[in-house]
Amino acid sequence: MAMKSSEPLFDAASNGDRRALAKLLTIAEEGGPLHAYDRKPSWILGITGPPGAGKSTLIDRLASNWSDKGEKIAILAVDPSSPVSGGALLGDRARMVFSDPSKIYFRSVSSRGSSGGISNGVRRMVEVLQSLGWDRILIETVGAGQGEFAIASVADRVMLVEGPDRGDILQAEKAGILEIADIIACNKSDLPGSQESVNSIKEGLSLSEGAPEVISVSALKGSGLDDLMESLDQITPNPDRLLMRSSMLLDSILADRMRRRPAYEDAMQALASRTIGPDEAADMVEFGNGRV
Amino acid sequence: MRIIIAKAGLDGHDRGAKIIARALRDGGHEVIYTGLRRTPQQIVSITRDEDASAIGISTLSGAHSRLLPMICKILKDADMDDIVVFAGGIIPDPDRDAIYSAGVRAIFGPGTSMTEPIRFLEEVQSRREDGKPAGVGEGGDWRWQ
Repeated sequence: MAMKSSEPLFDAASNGDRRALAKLLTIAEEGGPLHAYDRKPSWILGITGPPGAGKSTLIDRLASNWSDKGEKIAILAVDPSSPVSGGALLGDRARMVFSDPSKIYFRSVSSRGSSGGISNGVRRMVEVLQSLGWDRILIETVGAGQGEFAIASVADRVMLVEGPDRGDILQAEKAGILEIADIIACNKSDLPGSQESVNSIKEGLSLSEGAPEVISVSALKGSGLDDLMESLDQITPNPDRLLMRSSMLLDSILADRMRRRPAYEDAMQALASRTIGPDEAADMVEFGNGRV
Repeated sequence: MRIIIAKAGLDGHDRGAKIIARALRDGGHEVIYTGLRRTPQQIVSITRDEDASAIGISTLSGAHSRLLPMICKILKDADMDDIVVFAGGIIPDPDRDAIYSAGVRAIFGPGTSMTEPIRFLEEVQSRREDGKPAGVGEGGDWRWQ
């Protein structure tokens, strides 16, 4: 849709005005009216993984290395909101120590309680950054569940970050998310047990065809980064993985829409009091109260 | 509201900053914590990039009389007059007038209740809706008491 309101901001942002860029992204995040832009091709990477795997530190390193080569890097870091207050504590920025904040654009994003809802916001934010000529756009999400993967799936490539001593590699395997990443970075190679961890991930993937590459890195020490950067650039979108990730993304958006239906609250209450079964509750949300 | 919680200069103690960040989150705000040892310029750049509308600066180092007015000046020079600045930590009474006149709208010392900064931000919100000054460069002598 063509709207006048965002045009002056867009022009200012094109001339390097960071405040205009930030305001434009707020409009995009909130689903406000944006002037239709020409999008330039950018390289977009989703990064996810369990808390404490070292995603932010790794992103800091990658962004800093790319930026040193003269590339324009933008990072959207999505953190969950509090289910109680709706507020959020967005702390990923505190870990950015290597990269130069005057060159890299970093923006914290609250999930606002819904992976489906924020996926749309993140998609629009990516489009704004693309149209302003940012070379690489990184989307960071915390966690290794379907919701986090859904948000990361806004990107056309996804990297899963894991670390040693994580009992949840098996969990990741169970959830089937190892295979749907395009690349797996096994971080903290400076710690004992990291090679075992790489081996166990590779073993978990040994039965899947066209399995993602597993790269051992240490974001803290800066080792293995060149290999990782090379492999990241060689990722070719795999149609099967794209299909699976698109399905997660679509599911999360549909779930979000269903939750916002008027009958959702009633259906949830009725299900909680066991006066109706799960199927009836779902019917109630899908078709409205009258159809049950 | 989107709020930056910042630690400026050579000050390595951020327990207070983290507590206030959590309290504001529980009050429904989106809080971005900068991490330790940011320069005044970095704090302003972060505020700009994050499209935040308020900055809370926690200071325990004794450098408040230099750092706080410096942050206010950089904000005004960048035409970010609408940004609300508040401070917390150890700021002795005799130093406060100069800090308020630089544009800081509230100072929360030790013993402040967790709800007070939230009430301050509510007041900021309603002043904004009424078109009354609240930002660092919007003038007036309103301050949170």
